[in-house]
Amino acid sequence: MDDTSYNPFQYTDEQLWSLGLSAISVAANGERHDILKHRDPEEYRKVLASWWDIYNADQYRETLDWLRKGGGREVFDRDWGHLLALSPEQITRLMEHYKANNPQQHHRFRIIYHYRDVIDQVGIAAWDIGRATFLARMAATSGYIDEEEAWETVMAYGTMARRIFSNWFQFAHSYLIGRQYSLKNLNDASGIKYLNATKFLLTDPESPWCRHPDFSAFDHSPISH
Amino acid sequence: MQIHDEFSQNLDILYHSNQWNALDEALSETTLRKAQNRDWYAYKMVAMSNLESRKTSDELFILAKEALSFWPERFFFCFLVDMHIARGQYEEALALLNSWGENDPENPDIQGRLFECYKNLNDQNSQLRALFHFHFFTGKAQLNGLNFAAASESFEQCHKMAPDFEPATLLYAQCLFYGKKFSQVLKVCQSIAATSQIKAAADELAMLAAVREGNLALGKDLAKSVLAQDSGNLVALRSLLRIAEAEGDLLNGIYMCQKILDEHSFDVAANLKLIQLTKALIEGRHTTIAFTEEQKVSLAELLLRSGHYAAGTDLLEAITPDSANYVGARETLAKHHIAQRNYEEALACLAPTEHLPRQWNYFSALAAECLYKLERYTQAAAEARRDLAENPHHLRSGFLLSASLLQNYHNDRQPVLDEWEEIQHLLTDYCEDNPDDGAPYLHLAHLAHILGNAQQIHELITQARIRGHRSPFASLLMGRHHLACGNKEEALDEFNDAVNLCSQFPYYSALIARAELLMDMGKTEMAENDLRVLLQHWPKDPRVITLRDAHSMGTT
Repeated sequence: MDDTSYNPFQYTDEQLWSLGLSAISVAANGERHDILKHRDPEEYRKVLASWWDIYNADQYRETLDWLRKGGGREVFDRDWGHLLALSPEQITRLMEHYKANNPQQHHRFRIIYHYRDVIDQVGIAAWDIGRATFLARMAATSGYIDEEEAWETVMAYGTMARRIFSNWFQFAHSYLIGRQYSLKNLNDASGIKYLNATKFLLTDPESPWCRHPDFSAFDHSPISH
Repeated sequence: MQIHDEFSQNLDILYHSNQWNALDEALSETTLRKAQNRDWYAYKMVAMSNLESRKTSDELFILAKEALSFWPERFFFCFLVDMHIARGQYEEALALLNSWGENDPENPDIQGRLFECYKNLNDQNSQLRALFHFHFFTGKAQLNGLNFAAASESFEQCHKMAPDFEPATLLYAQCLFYGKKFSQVLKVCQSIAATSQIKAAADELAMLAAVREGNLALGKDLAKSVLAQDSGNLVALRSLLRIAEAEGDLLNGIYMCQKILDEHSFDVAANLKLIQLTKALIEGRHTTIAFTEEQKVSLAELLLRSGHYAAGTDLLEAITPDSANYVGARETLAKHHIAQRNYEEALACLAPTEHLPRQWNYFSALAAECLYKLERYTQAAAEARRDLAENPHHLRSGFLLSASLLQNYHNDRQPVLDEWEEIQHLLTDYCEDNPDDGAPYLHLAHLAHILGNAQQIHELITQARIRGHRSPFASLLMGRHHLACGNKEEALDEFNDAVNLCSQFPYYSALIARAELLMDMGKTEMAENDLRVLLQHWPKDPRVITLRDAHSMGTT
């Protein structure tokens, strides 16, 4: 995209920065990063229906509420806490048990164990933030909500994300581990697609993350933890 | 129903506003027993327990027993135990606790109450054991909730009470780690015996703490020791990566990333770190190391493998012909182009120059690979021969020579007819060394066809197909084999495959074979389609003309 066609609606820097929260999914889906809504409403209605069971504004808001209150990070934190409290021997036994009886839970614990020295208290917060903001953009695209409502969500998550993360690397880290934990696809085409999308965002000068890298801009109020 | 709802709402209000007297009065025991409502029982019992005159009363005690019999759950269980304790009935409380504890052995509430009972019964040993368990299970419950500070306090108590109980010590060290108290982590981990079963986990934790604390030398030692026990230990590899990064050794950092990715290509941490380090390198933010040209070649290999093609190529292109590393750089670049299927570019890298004489036969092997892929079979065979002259055991070159001669058979038959035994030998050797590759079986089938060994074709092509290899020519040969055996339907299937596999351009041999067979089977209308294509492309071909004549006779 040449610079003359970038940001056609003259969004503010903060708006463009906040759109970056859903950029991994947007890049993987080949959409524009500098426009809130995507191209094909019908296509995104199908995505919302098949992936999220969302057919109207109320269902969208319910899902957003679930993401806000706990989302995937609640399950992840529970599993992480569970694993942390076990001895190495108990972990081995538990993994063997799940391998034989519960492949999904086995996968989840395997991912947590794989990243045991990498996971911190931030956990997979970015995975929920990315999904919530992408949902808002898809719901606006589908016509379930208006742009104003979508922006409210995107900007609120922007403020939250800047309090939790210091840079896009950290954000991507949390997002991708969350995705691997939740969706299983590690080495398959989908996993590679999302990893490549992230590589593009982190390295291409025209990507929204490289254009808007600053996590300390916009918020001037003191941050409370 | 409405009255009932209003009454219930009133109870909720009284309960949540701590109006215990009013709540006690509003819920008579008669109402309670009649309704048998779990929440009302709980409200009533809580209200009574907050009233001095009622809290140890027989009425409340009976209600607590009733409630537990109706709803055997933790709240009512604890309530009844507490009533026993409040009434000084420690043995009864113990009996109840022990019976409940079987279901929920890690419940700190039980251990806390056991401690209370033993304390009042002056049983020192049991008291200490219960207290230890209380701290241990409280710590685990806090850890479950990721409350590291609180968990740390509980495990610290355990550690003080029983320093030899290593599971608690390890959990204590873990909580300290998440509380960023790294020097304490090191101290606590040191207290774990070298022979302990949890020593490996303790070493991992100590290694992480050392690196986070900035004690890189200790971190490195611990990482090496962990890797000596478990060469694939991810935590140790990541620690070495962090150490390399902290020391500004980007090359080693990238190498560590690659090492992790070789085993776990999905690893987010290594993938992202690789991007970060590469970015730093490209943007010139590396400060502490000066690259030698040999290191540049190694680094370029890593960059190319991790998809940073431009950066890797730039590094290699910068190595000048007078450098001792020039040959290595050209080889790496050529391999990269081959992997990208840019065969012409690869050949350009391998072209002989003043600084790159064609004595180095490994270049011939690479050149043969490119030329074969570019379908320049005569040259490919020549390069492969050149490599084989120096390296007779280079099986890939043997394969390329054989395959090139066979592919070129329609232009130049003599080499195949002269050297068929050698070709067969080279291809067979290659099959043995590459048991999953179907391509040599196809070439052997072709050779069998040339030599007239029809009976071998079926087996060889089947072997190629088992290995996932299909080709229009193989289908054509199979079709001819079936036709020779009189299996017309199977032959037709194979000819169909041959035509379909070659959909980008008309495949004369398959089309004519299929059209002739269709005519033979009386399917003249179907044959007409093939005939139309054949006439369009080969109007003067004698077989096509014969077929056209037969077709016009058949349709008139």
